[in-house]
Amino acid sequence: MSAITFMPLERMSPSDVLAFSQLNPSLICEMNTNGSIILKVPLRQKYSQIAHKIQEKLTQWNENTEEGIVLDNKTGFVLSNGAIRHPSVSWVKPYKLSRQTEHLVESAPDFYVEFLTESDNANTMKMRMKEYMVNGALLGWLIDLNNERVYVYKNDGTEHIIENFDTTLDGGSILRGFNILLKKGR
Amino acid sequence: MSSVLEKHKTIRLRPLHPMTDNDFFEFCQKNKEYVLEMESDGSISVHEPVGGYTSYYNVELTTELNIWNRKQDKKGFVTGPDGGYRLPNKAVKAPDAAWISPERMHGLTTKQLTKFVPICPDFMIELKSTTDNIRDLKEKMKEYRECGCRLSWLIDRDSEVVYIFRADSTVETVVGFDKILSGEDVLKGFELDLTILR
Repeated sequence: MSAITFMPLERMSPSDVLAFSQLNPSLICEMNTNGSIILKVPLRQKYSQIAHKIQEKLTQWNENTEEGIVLDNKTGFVLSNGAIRHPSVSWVKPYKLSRQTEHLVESAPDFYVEFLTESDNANTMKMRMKEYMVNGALLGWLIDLNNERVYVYKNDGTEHIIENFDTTLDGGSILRGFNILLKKGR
Repeated sequence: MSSVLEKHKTIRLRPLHPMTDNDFFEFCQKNKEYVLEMESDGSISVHEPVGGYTSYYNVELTTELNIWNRKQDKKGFVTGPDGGYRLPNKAVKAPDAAWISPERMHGLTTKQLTKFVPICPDFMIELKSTTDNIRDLKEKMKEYRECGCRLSWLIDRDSEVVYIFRADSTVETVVGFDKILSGEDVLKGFELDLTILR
């Protein structure tokens, strides 16, 4: 069991969800628009390694550009549709952080990374990627490690698939000059 | 390397606010796709629904227990895996099979029997499913005993072993499903032929 979705007795506010997460630090706690709560166990090592690699590269790039803040899956984003999501890696412009309490940002991330794992439903994950975009995100990557495939979501509404990890991924006009090769050992 | 996910057959969570019996009952009604239990410290255990085989053998066990119960002059109260009990230590547990003696059953109101039954059953069975952790289950059996359970059986089909937990704190290990278990002085005359679990 990698995740459970349950209905709380009463709808939880974002600060309730945050307090609940802090009571349950070994789980990642999200909320759907209908108020149901998703509890997930952290990603397996093969995924978290890639997440760390992206986070590291992104942090290096960000230090040079000083354009934003890099966050990990401990940060929850309160989307305008009421959902709370924890992308594996994210990047936000500083002005959005004015609407931030610790570990909770009241907006969509500008850039976000999610993983499609064995226990995920691909369609559910694709819906999730679009949800960020509809709520104001600018660029998203959904990484399917097992098939070496990356689904790229852009704020002009386009989606495309990069079919192997030999291709360098780039941040386009959102993360100017950022690029990364996911292939192992690089 | 073993999967991290495989270790999480049960997810334990702490609710934001302590739940009363009524709160937890309502919470269970809202979330019927999971098997939910409350621990004595107020945390909630969320279990994966069991597979077909485990359900099949659970039915075999409750059938045997209920056939015996029906034949008694004074009938007790038999429940299956979805029967919830609020134990004296505040935990809410759903043993795979349970029996309350007629004497203790008559002390309960209809209202009490409608929600989580607010006593510890006299007899309980836990059937280990392949993904259950045997150590966790043994702890659970001890908890039942401390709450007043007079006799309980922990049945492990994978290794054909039954652990019998008695009120006097003895634990007997029965190896091999060619054996017959006795209801001892708790379920007088009840016998369970373990070959039905093979």
